[in-house]
Amino acid sequence: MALLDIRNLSVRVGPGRDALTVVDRISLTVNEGRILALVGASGSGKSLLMQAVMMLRRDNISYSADRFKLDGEDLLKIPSRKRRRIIGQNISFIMQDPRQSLDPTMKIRDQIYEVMPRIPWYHVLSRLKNFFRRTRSKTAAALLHRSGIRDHERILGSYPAQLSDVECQKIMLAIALASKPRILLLDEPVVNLETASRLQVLKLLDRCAKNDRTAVVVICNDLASVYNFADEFAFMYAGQIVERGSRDRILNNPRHPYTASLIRTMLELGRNGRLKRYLPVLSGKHPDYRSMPVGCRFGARCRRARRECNREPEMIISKNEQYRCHFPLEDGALYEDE
Amino acid sequence: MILILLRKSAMLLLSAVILLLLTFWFHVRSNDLGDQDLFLRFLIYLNRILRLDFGFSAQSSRPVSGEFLEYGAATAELCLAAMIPSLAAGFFLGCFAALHKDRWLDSAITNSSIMFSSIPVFWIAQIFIALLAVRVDWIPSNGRISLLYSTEQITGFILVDTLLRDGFGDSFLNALTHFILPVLSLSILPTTEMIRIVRNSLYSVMQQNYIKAAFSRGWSSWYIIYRHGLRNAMPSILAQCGSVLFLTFTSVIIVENVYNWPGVGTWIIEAIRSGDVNVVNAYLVLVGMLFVVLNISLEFAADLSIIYLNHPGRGRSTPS
Amino acid sequence: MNSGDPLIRLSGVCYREHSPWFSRLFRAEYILKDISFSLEDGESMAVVGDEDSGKSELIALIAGLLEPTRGRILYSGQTAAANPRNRARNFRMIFQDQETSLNRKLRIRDILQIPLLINTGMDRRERLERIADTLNLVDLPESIAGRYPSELSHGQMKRVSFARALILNPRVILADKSISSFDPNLRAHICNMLLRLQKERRISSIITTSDLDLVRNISDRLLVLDRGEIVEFGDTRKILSAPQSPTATRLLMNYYNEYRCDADHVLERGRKAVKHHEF
Repeated sequence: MALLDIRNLSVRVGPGRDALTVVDRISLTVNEGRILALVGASGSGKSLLMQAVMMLRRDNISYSADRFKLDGEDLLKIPSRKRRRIIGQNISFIMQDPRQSLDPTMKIRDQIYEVMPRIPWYHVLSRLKNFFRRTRSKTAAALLHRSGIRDHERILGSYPAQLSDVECQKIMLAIALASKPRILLLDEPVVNLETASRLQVLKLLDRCAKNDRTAVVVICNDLASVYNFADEFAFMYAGQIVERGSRDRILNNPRHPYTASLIRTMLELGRNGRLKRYLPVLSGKHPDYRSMPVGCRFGARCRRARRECNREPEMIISKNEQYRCHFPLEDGALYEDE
Repeated sequence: MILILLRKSAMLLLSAVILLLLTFWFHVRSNDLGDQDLFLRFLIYLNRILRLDFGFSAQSSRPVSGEFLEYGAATAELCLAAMIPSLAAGFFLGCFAALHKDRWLDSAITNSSIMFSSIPVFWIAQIFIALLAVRVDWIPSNGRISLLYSTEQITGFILVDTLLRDGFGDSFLNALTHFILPVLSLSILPTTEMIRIVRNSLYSVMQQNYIKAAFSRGWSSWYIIYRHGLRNAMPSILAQCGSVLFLTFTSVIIVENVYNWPGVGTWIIEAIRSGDVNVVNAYLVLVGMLFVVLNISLEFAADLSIIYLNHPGRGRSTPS
Repeated sequence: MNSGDPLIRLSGVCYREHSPWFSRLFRAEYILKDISFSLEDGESMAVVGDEDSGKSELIALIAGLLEPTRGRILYSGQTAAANPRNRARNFRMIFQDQETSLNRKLRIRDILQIPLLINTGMDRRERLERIADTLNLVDLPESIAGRYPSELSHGQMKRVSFARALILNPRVILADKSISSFDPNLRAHICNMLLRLQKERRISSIITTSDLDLVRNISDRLLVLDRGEIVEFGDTRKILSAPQSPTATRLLMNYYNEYRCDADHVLERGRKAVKHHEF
C-alpha cells in the first residue's frame, strides 16, 4: 500500500470567485524507499502541489481533495490543527532557498535542538540535565554527520549567514531528518549548487531512501540534474501530471510528447560533437491559467495533436505506466517525429 | 559594543548641548540680562541647571525643582498606569493581527485601531466625563483623590501612598476610581500605535521562509511567533517604540487638563498662562532632557538587540 | 573607442570585501587575486569554478556592482570612470534572484521602459515598439507588458529580467548562475537566443554556470577559477577536451564521470537513435 495516497487534489489561487485552479485534480501516490522526481516547467504548479501536500495555510490559497491518506489514516476527517501536527511529524519539507529557511538570528545549534524530539519529563529530571545536554549535543552532531557534515563544532556554533549554500542545504536536510519523517519533500534542492555539491546532496537523498526507507519527493525543473538518482518520474504540465513511470521506462520509451521533448532536449545538450548548435525547443508557450485551452492542455504545442485532442484526455493507467494522452508515442519512437 | 556606547553618548551629549543652548536663548529672551557677557551667563546658567536650581515659582513662591518633583510624580504615575497595559495589550493584539493577516480578526483589530486613533483625546475624554461621570455618576472625573482623604505625600505616587497609609482601604479604592477615566482616555492612542508597530514588523518577518518552514513542521502558531517571529522582529519594534512614548507624553498634557489632574501638564499650562518664566524654563530643560535620554536609550536597546541576535547584516555578505 | 580594442580587458584585478576602518587591521583575504584576461569583440565567455572561487564577484566586478580593490577593468578600451554610459548601456547584468530584482510596484512595461528612458532619447511609440520586439525575443506575449511582476510565473519573471537586459541592445550580457536554474525548455530557448544574438547581432555573453554541456555549447572562451585565481583560460573546446590544470580536470571529472555516467547505460539506446537521426 502506498505511504501517501492523494486523490484529486486541487489548489485554487486567488480570492473568492476569481480563484484560478492552478493544480487541477492531481492524484499522487508516494511509496516507501523510492525517490520520486516531479519534473515540470516553472509555473506548472509543482511548488503549489507541495504546499498543498503540507497543507500550509496561506493567504488566497484553498485546497480540496477527495482522498488524503497518510499511511492508511484518512487525514481529511481529522480537525485541521491535529492534521497539521501529524503532517509535520511525518512529512518534512525543504523549501527552495536553504539559506532563507534558516532563522538568521539563531545559531545552527539551537535550530537543530529545536527540532529534535523532546525528552519527556525533562524538567522533572533536571538533576540529570548535564547528562541530557551531553546526549543532546551528541545527537545533534550525529544528525549533522549523517547529512554529510564533518566539522560539527564550527557549523553548530555559527549563524546561517556565515555558511555556504551547500552547508545550509545539508543543515536543512539534517533538520528535516531529525524528526525521522516518513516522507521527505524537497523543492529544487540542487538548483543553485555546484556540481560537486549537487552530487553530495543527491547521494544523501539516495541513502535516505535506501537505508531509512524514507519516501523522497524531489521537485526539479531540470531532468538532467536528478535523472540518475530518481527511481520514478512524474511530469507536470499546466497543473496536471501528464506522465508517470519508472526511470528506465520513461527515459527509453516516453509516452507523452512533452516528456519526449524534455528528454530530447537533455540528450541533445549532452551530446558530444558540434559546438554552437541550436537546441530543439518546444514551440509555443505554457498556457495561462486564466485562459486554459479546451481539451488537452499540451495540444497547442504538440505536433501530434489531432481533432480528438480537443477532448481532455483521461489518465491512462496500466501496470507500469500512467500517461495522459490520446496518441501516446510508441516504443522507441523518441526521435521519429522530429 | 563599546563603540556603539561611545557613539550613543556622543549623540546624547550633542543633543543635550543643543537643547541647553535653546533653553538658554529662551532664558536670555525672558530675563533682561543687560550687557553681561553671554558666554559667562551661559556658564552660570549651566552651573545652576546642573545643581537643579531653577529658581522660585512666581505663583506659589516655592522652589521650582521641588514643585516639578511633586507634579512629575503624579504625571509619571498616570503615564505608567496608562502605558503598561496599553503596551501589553497593543503587543498581543498586534501579534494576533499579524498571525491572522487579511482575515476577519486582523481587519477587526486594524480597523478598530484606526478608528480609535483618529478620535481626538480631548473629545473622547469629555465624552467619558459626560457619559460616565455626569450622566450616570459612577466614577469621579476630577483630581487624583477625593478631598475627604488626607493628601500627605510619601512617595508622590498616590496609589502607593494610600496603600502605605491605610492599607487596602477606602482611600486606596477612592484613588483607584479617580484613575479610571484618565487612564482610559490616555491609553487609547499608545495602544493603537503599538498595534500598528507590532503588526507591521511582525508581519514582514512572518513572510520569511524560515517561518514557513517552522509552520511546515506542525508547531503551534504562538510557539513560532515567540521563537522565531518576535526574535527577528524585536529590533524594529524596539526602534519604533519611542513614538509610543512621545504620543503618551504629548497627550498626557491634554488629559491632565481635562480631568484637572494635578500633574506637569496642568502645571505648565497654568505657568504659561500666568507668564511664570522659571517654571517654563525648568519644564523645557527637564522634559527635553527626559525625551533625549529616552530616545537615545531606546536606540541603544535596539542596537543591542541586533548585536545580541546577530542579525544577517553582520554575517558574510555575498554579492548580487 | 578604437575598433581594435578588446571588448573587456581586466589587468591585475584584485578584490576583497570592503571593511570598516577600524577592522582594517585584520586584513580580509582577497576573494579575487590578480585577474587578467581580455575578451575580444563578439566572443562569449563562461566562468566555472567551485563555490568559493569568486565567480559571482568577478561578474559583479565587470557589471560595476563592486569596485576592484586594485587593478583596472577596461570596457572597449576605456575605464568606467572615463565613460560611465558605455558600461551602463553595453554591459547588462541579469540578476539571479528574479523575484526581488523586479520592482513589484511597476508594470512590466515600466520596468522595461526605465533603461530606455535613462539611456536613450526615444519617444513613446519607439519605446513601445522596442519593448514589444524584446518581449518577442524572449518568447513572452506582448499582453504581458501591462501586468505586474506578482502576476507572472517564475519563468516569466526570469524572461522579463532577460528582456530588461536586452532592451538596450547591449554588447555583452552578464548572467550569474541564472541560466542553469531555468527549466530545460526555457534554458534551451535562452541558449538558442544567446547563440542567435551572438551570431546575428554580435552580442556576447559572460555567464557563470556549473553546467558544462551548456558552456560547451554557447561559449568560445572558458575561464576556470580556483579560490580567486585563474588556473586556466582559453578556448572552451580545448579546455574541455584536454584540461591542463587539476581544478579543471576535477570539475570535468565530477561533471562527466560521476554526474552523468550512471544513466549512460539507460540512455545508450537513446544516443544511438540520436546518431541515426540529425535534428
